[in-house]
Order: sequence, then C-alpha cells, then structure tokens
Amino acid sequence: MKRAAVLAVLLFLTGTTLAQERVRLENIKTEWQDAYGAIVYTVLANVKNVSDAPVAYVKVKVQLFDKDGKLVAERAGYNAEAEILDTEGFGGSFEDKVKLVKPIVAGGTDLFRLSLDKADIGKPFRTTKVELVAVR
Amino acid sequence: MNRTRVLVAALLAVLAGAGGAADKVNLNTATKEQLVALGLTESQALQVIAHREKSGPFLQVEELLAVQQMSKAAFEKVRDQVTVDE
Repeated sequence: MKRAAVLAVLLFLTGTTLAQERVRLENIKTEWQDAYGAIVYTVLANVKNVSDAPVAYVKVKVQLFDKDGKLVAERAGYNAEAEILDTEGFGGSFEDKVKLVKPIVAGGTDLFRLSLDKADIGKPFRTTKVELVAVR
Repeated sequence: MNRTRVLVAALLAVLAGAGGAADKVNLNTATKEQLVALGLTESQALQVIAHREKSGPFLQVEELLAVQQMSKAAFEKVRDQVTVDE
C-alpha cells in the first residue's frame, strides 16, 4: 500500500523574469512514495500559463540541499504534456518532439511531476528548491 | 539578586536549547522499543525498521510516510521527536 502526504517544501521561484511572466508554478507539493518497492521522492506542481499565448513546454529544475545548504541531488524535467522531451530514441530530434507536444493554452494549466529514486539521492537532505529554467 | 536571576535564566535557556536535537531519536538507529516509546505501535515500529533495512537509511523524517502502516496521524505524533541527522 502506498502512503503519501504533502510535506513542507522550501520553495524558491528564481527562474528568469521572462519565464515568470509567462508561467507560474502553483500548489507545489512533495511526497515520499513506495512505488511497488522503489522508494521515491516526488515533486508535484501545477504549471499555469499566465501569458496570453500558448506555451510549448516548461522545464523545471529540482534541487535537494542538506542541512548545511550543500547540494545533495539535482534533476530537471518537463511539464506532463511535454515529458516526451525527456525521452531518448523516440520521436526523432528534440525539435521533432517539440512538435508532438500539446501546448499549454493561454490561461491553461498542466501538471509537473518529477520523481527521484531514493538510491539516486543517497544522502539526507532538508530542503527542496523548485525552479523554472526554461519556458518556450 | 536580579543579576543572579538573569544568570540562572540564561543558564536554563542554554540547557533547554542544548537538549533539543540531542534528545531526538535517530530513525536510522532506533530500536523497536525506542520507536514504541515515541508512540508508534509495535507493528509500525517493526515496519520502520524493515523499511530502512530494505531501502537504506532514512533521508528525511518525512520519508516515514512511505513506510507501510504509517498513518498521517502516527507520523504527526512522532515527527518532532525524530531525526535523521547523525
């Protein structure tokens, strides 16, 4: 049985000014899950397009820091509709894959979800930083 | 007299502060008895130990929520009494 709960998250929205003008990360949550035996730390958020034009994709970086502020782990991912951009060997080049992505319409929202395997984190951490790194 | 009171108050404050983190139970070394003493059931305590033996040391106190049989209520009961820091 999977147990999950919302945990406190230290959030920094430090993306570029341009990115922040176009997209906003909302309802950021983190949770530990037992995914059929694999323990994963998952970051969830809503990606809201606050501009008046479609957004093809949003790239978000997640960083974990220990109690001394030292970086423990880092990973980036795309909004749910654009997760194909993270795949290799499928859909051709990056630009080809972008064409397959359903854009976030103006005023629309998509989900962002990124899971880190506990084995890949490796060390205790205290804070999670979620940052917009690219919007197109 | 007042100075003595201030010194005693300061000493008590220091002692109280020193007890904080040190008094917490480390999830990565805790025995079943220690976990039960915090308020977990014996079954939950055994699951905590099984979890760390299977997937390695806890990386966050909140990882307790991925332990089987760990309810939100049980987690809230112990979260301020446990640590993963060495």
